Amino acid sequence: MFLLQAPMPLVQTTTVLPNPQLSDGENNTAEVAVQLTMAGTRRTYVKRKDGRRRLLWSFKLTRNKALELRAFIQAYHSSTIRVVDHNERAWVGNFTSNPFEFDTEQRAAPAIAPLPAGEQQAIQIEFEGVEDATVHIL
Amino acid sequence: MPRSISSNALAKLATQYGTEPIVVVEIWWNDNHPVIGRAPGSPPPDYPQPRMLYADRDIPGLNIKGKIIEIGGLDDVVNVSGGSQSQQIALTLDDTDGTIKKIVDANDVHLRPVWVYQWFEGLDFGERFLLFKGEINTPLEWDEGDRTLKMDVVSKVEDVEVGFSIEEGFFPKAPENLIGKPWPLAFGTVINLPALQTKAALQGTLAQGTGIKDFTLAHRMQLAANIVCPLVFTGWTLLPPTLGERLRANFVNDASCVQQRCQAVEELALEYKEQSSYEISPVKIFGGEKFPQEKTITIAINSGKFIGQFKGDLFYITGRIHPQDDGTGKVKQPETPRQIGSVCGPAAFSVIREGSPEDQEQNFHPEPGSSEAGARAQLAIWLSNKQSRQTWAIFNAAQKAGFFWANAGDTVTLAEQQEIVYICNLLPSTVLRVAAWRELRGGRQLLTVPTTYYSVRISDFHGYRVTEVVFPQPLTSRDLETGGGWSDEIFVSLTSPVGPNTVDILKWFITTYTKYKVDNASFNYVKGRVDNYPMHFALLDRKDIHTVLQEMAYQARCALWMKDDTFYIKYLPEEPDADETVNETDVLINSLKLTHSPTEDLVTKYTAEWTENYANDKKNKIILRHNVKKYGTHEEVYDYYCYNIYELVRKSATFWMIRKANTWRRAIFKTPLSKLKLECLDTVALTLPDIADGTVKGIVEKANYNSDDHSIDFEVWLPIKSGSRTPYNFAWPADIDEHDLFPTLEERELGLGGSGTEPNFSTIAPPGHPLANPSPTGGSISYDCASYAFLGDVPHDTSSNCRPDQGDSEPSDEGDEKPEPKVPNGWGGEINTGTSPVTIQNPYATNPWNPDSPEQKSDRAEQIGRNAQEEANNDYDPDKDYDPDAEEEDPNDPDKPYENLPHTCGGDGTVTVFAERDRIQNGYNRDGERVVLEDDEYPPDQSICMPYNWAILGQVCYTFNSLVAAQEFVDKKKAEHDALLQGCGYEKGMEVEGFWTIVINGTVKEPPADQRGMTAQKFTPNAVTP
Repeated sequence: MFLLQAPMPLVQTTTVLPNPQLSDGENNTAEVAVQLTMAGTRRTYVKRKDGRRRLLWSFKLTRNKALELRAFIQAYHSSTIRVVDHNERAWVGNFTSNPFEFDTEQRAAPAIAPLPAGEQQAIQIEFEGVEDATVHIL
Repeated sequence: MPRSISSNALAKLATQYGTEPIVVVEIWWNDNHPVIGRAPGSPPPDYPQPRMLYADRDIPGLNIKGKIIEIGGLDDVVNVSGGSQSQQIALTLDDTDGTIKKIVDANDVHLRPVWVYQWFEGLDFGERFLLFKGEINTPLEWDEGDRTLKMDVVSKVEDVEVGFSIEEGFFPKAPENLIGKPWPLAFGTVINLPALQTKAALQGTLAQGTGIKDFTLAHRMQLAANIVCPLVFTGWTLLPPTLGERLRANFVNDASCVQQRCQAVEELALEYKEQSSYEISPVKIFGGEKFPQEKTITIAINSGKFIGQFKGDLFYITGRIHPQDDGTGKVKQPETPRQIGSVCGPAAFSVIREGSPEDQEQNFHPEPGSSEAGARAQLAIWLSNKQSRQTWAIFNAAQKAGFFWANAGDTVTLAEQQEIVYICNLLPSTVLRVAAWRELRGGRQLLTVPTTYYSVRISDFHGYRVTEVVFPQPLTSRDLETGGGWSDEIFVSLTSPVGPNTVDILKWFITTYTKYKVDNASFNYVKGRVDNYPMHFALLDRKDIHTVLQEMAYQARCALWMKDDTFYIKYLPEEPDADETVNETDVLINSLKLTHSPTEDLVTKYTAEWTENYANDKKNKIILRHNVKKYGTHEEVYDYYCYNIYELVRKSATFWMIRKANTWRRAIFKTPLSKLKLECLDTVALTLPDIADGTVKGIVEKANYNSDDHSIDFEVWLPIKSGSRTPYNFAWPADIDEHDLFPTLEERELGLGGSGTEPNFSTIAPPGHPLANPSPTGGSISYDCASYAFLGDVPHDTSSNCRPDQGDSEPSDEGDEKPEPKVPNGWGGEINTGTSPVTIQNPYATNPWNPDSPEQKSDRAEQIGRNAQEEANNDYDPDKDYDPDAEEEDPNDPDKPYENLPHTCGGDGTVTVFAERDRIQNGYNRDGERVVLEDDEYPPDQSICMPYNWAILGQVCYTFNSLVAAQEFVDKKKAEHDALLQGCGYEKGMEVEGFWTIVINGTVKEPPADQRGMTAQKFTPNAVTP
């Protein structure tokens, strides 16, 4: 289970998504500059980002779920949101995808009435934020 | 000056791994914290908006947002002496939350102050240190698409004009001719500074002449009418016996006297009538409509005053004040007393002086045997003669004021604005001499203005205490009886309270015209180093402060820079102590480059222009050449206006020629933040085998901090010439051996000193030619220069400067002494204060320069008569007995080998005074014994009593208006010399004769007859009158 909640801190909307596909990513945003002198001496300078992570998830969604996600993104793409990922780690931050692209990769069947039949859509979401250890997992 | 960094911050910089440098920008967005009056660089005590701090990442504990998206390379040093006026960085701030846009909408953020700090995570925030300080400049752009605010932050020495001109102050109706005219601003002791003549705000021009009659005429007419004429006996009248007396003497007034009295009365009446007729009123005055209209005012024309009213440009005169009127109806300056004596009394009566015993009535004695009546008659005649004598005396002694005439074209001012004021200096100064051009006999000479013609005052203009010379009447109206010819343009020699030390002057400029501070440590140190190189100059135009500071620092061979609103200074000829070391453990790999100073910076022909005397229209030049043979001719001309002494100009010009005529090695490299302490113009000790042998000091010319990759770009100037790996001896010449020779012997042999190109380099004047270097030994080349007159020769005397274009042969500061400017007529006490050498003794001389003119002969005859009188009074000084008919001395007398020295001052009325070398070779000791010394041997006692070396160092020219005045000057020097010799134990007159004047270190002396060191062709002793 994968939750998207917004706006923060007074959450009004929660979207539940299926677990992301394999090969999700979690990158540290901190930087390390390494300098090497003529004599071989190394020096390093770091740029901490206070635990900020750059996270990457790919989802395959039904048409209806994709529409729900699209509505969530349209409403809160500029807001701080909370993500509870499939590992039950909570993150507070912002979407950094630009643009949000829904790809229709294949048909999805069977349709479940009255929902439209249909299609399977894929989307990759980039998110940057800090882990929120205090969040209560629903 | 390296950055001031706390020990904790230094420890952070030295940490090898994991340091987290954070750039913090502080911006004061509005005027809640005014710029003026704040302590520059000091952060506010707290940081409420709109003082904002931004960092290159969020600092949650300090509530500082990470809004810095981009910041350019940081270098905060404004190298003023290097021609830089500003430094700038580009700053981009993130505004996705719109907070900055709100500030920009509500405030004019242009030119608001910005500080850029370096801080380290884990360090107390108070230990951040400043990287850059500036003000927000355009381009200042808020970008809707990027949601960013981009700006330039500039550190700049503001443009402020130094000095003053009248339109800047509160001067209603400022004279048009003064608008934009800079007031002189002088430092040290300047010579013949052209003073700025100010004119009254209200000024007109007389369109027609008008006069003021002699106000003594009426009184003199009355005196003439009261003249008593002597009685003349005409016979006896026989009286009837009833009257008691039988005889009565008959008298009439002397007819000649009566006629003269009548003539005097008539002449005065006619004079009165004629002069009154020239008291014209009204008079037209061009520009009169600007004066107060229809109000009774007093105007001044030259020295006369006129009371009346203006109606348009016509002035209706109701009263006149004669220039000689002292306010009580008497003449200001009584004329020369005249001998009292009747001119119309009977010739039989001798002149009886007033008050003499013969003048007393009780001493009158009738002729022996006279009858009683005869005695009474004689007494009556005696008394009438006395009265006549007295009344004529009173009439003749009556003071005369003369007729005053104001010519058409004369200047008209309000009486209270009449005085002519010359602005001499914006600083309260001591005036040493006032001079002006004077046209005499077709020649134009700069002569000292008598001190009685003007007064000196200090006027407080609220901001400046200005030195003024005030003339009560135009100089052009002076000395008309002796030819006039004065110009109204005056030249003032004065000493300013500021200077002559360069550092004092720089401090004055910075503190007077900028809001910045000076670093006292560096300024005080350099003050000592430049003390022997005083600056005596005046600014006669208005330059901006940046230019003035740059030019002064350059001429003083200093580097001047500003950072964090503080000026620092460094003495460039001195080898500095290293502020930091750099070796291969500090230089980032693949960043080291060996480069050279730019080709376009080469200067092989360096011309230094300078001025000793502001009255000279043309500037002097010193032309230096070096490495012409190697690099060709690359010319630069620089105006050394801060120095008025040749040796100082040559010193500085030689230094810069060495720096500019050579190609120098430069090192370019990058270092980590560990060298963040180093800034531009700091000294770094480099140990880089790729660059130089061993450790060599260099000057950081660029230190650019890149915050993105945490590195510093350095460019370092090295004192190593191209093609070499070791420092050049003269790159830092201040403290090298005093006698180290420049150009070096190697450079001379290679032809790199001077032009080095043939045939010019070996060109020399033939023996005996006037251009040949005079030698006391008789050759054409002095012994100093003889040994290396030709290419390749090696000099044995390094103190000589036989090739002027090679510069100072000893560029070291060692052994230098502080020179003083030579102030005409004020130097060495040669002319007493207030004594002018141009005093005219014979105002009637029409041909003052012709010794055979009747006037000169007459003067000589008078002097001979006075000598005879003195001799009769046993007060005769044989030294003053000058026989005008004696033969002139033979200038070719072999016993006087120095008589042939040229009288170079030239022209009529000049006296050449030769200055003598202070090294003594032959002379007389205190006991009068002859002392002969070997070359370069100094006597044990070098007191002023030890005469006289015959070597002539230089000459001083004095100019006089007449032979008499010139001789007076020489006599004065002779008297001083006599006193000098007497004070030293010489017998007066024993070893001294003639009129030869020599100046040795400012002390006037005369040489013995056999060692005369000068001649003055026009003023040999027998050709002039004392």
